[in-house]
Amino acid sequence: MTRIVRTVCGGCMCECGVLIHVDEKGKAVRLEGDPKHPLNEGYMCPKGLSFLQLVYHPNRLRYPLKRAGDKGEGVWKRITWDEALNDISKELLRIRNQYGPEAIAISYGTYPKRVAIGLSLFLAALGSPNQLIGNCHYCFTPHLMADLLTCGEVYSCELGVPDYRKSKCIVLWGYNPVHTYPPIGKKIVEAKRRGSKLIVVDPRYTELASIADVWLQVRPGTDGALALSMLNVIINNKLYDADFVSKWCYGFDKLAERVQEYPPEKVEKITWVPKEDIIRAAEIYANSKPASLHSHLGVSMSYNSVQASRAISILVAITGNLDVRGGAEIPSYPIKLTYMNIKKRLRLGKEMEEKTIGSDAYPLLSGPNSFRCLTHPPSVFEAILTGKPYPVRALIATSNLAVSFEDSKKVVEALKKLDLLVVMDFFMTPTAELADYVLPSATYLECDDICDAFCYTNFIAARQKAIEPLYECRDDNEVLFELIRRMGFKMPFPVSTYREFLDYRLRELGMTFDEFKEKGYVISDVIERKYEKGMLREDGKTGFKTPTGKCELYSTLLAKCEFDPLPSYVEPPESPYSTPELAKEYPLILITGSRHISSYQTMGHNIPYLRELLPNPLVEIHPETAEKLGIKDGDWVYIETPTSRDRVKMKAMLTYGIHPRVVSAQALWWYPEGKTYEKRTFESNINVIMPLKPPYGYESIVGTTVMRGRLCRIYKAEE
Amino acid sequence: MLAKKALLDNTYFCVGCHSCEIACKQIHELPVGVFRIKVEKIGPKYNKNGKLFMKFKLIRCMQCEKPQCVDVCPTGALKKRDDGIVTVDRGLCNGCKQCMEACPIHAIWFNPETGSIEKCDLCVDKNLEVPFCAKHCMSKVLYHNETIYSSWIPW
Repeated sequence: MTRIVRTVCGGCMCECGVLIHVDEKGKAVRLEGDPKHPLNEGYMCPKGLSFLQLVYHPNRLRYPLKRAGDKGEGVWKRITWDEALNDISKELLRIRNQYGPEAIAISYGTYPKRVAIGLSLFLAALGSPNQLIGNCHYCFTPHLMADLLTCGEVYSCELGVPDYRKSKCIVLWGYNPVHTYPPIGKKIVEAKRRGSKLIVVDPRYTELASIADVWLQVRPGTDGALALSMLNVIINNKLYDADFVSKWCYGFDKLAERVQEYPPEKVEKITWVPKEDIIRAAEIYANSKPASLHSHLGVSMSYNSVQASRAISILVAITGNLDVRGGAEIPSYPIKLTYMNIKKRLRLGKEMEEKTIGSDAYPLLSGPNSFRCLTHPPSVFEAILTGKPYPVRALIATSNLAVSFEDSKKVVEALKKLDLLVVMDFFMTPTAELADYVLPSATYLECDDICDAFCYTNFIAARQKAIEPLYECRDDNEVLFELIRRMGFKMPFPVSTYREFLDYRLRELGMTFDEFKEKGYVISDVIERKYEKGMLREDGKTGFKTPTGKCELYSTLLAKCEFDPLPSYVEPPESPYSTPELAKEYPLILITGSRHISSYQTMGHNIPYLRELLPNPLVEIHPETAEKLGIKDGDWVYIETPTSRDRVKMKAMLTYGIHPRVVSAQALWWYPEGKTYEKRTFESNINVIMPLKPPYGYESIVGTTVMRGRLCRIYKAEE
Repeated sequence: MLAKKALLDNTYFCVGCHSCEIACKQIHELPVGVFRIKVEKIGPKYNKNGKLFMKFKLIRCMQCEKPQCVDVCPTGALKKRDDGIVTVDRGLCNGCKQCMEACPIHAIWFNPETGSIEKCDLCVDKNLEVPFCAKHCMSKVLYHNETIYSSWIPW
């Protein structure tokens, strides 16, 4: 008899509900969407649907491995878990005693968000402030920062997915959820079919752009100017929510003055978006209530990341869409101990946090006065390589850093320099290859967990073990708890195993994890306009969690840190306008980081069904541009940037869906089947030609490396 | 007249997520290169009026009223059932591929692992009420008859 287990997918950070059919031998034989799950309502994307190919992949890591040759040589010795954990804890203790806890760092990407909890607890128990959370400086942090500065909550990026059935208008800004957040893409298509207006801001003609009411084909890197111009239209035509602005906003007059610098006529020249379209989009958005607006990497990977996101956060606020259903909903989970709140409880105190790498340059990102105390990732690699401000010697990684960070070759150099690199993963990735110890991770089918995904907004869901872990794979969280125990550190919460921690988190609901599993989900009521009810501030007063208690259009915190307190736009440091001479040599504007539904970050290239969907890394080129360069559809081409001596090889895909002066290279490509390390890790990985330390500097507030809106040149590769 | 049951679509809203394709491959355990439904992207390109467009075509068996594949099948493996669904008996199929040539929309594939052909039978071989692809359609553009269509869409 086949039994069906209701659990939560871990194929990406969306965390959709899934039903696993398990046969009498305990093997998962079928996987389908859970129609009752509030997020995906039965839908599953290709990554989720092919996940069993990952679970039962012949190359899955099976046992703990210890390096038995030089770093990266590929000579391994199989060891027991006991040996592995003993060795690792001994080595970590040595490093901690010799160099201090700050010499040890952790890293996780977005897939194993569930591992994030174990790793965060581990780091806190150890007493180190250095956590590399993905590529936070150009991923979610610019949005997070902008929203927190504006109103103390996060609502314009991954958090706060609204009830799209109520949205009269949906704006997607540099955000392509069909490929990156498929269950949200589903909700948006559904809303569009029901008659919502859809506005897509994207340099690429995406699937959603093709069914949109307005598509703004913005020049990469100029989103900030576009948002400021939309604010100009909305403010000058009095389309904003005057009531909300007068009651709850701070600094409106100063903002009104600032946006005068961005009339649509002028911004048309900056962004290449016709002024009629700017006006039309602003009018549709402001006149539709409620309207949702979400932005993502398209904005946060640009040079103006935080300031552009600020302008977008403000668009949401002054149109009265803050914390209303179908607008920008501020999440309210049924439990207090969510991932975000656990992290808040693990803050280390002033003295230690001052040591966070990046705290001197980015006080709002890192250090005791920051919102979340993250590290500045490129500075961590610099610290490993140069020993400044102090050397980082050990890294516990559950992500594929060798591929996923800019300047991959330098990152690999840094990873090789570590005293201790421990990698927990499903496969021998280019990062795992450089490790001293490789630990085989259990997949979501083999674990219990509480899911409070960023997309959930007002519920939590139970992930429950559907099959026993294969081979000797173990749940990463349990492994990390075990490491804390073996090293003799105090657990930050009064629990000793991860399983106990799950019960502990559910205490306030008066249920155990087993009872929660039975239920599957716990949903809380959505409360709108929490700022009116005194539910956002710690002191219980009405208003927002900002220094003025208001929604800060003029940011007092930015002013205090001597940044521009009002949203602004500067021309990207490499562009046809700021560096016209350079643009003669490198005439095309490059976007890196566009995603495809067949992969999630660096995962998916070795899954047969997913690789079949996208066998080769693609770079999108306009047919007219390609013709001038003698490039045909399907030709292999090389891409070069001014800041790198390397080049990257990709396959040309000719499309009218991109501006003739812009090209778009897919992100995070590596070849699991590649014969050499060079081929596997670098040949088609666009990050190879991105600088770890750009000559023109980082964005000033969170240290974004510019990944979109740079210059490049392309030429045909000899076969 | 259309078959009583067929996998229909309204592809205006199809956004090409490929879930139908992968769902189908998962449940029918199809190897790489073999399909029963396939998504084909058209564009982005300009139409006659100079407007940019992109759309998707879903290639799969339409359960024709007079199926040419059934007519050419030399072994009787392909049959049209009373309810209109064209099924294939893998025990009888000899892999001659004549049906593949006869199909006007190229919706039959050859599976080298089993030596027989693959085509959409609305998952009747898996005893599913709703075809597995339709269940996982992002835009709910795939449906397989009027009744299910109206009861299924949640709005």
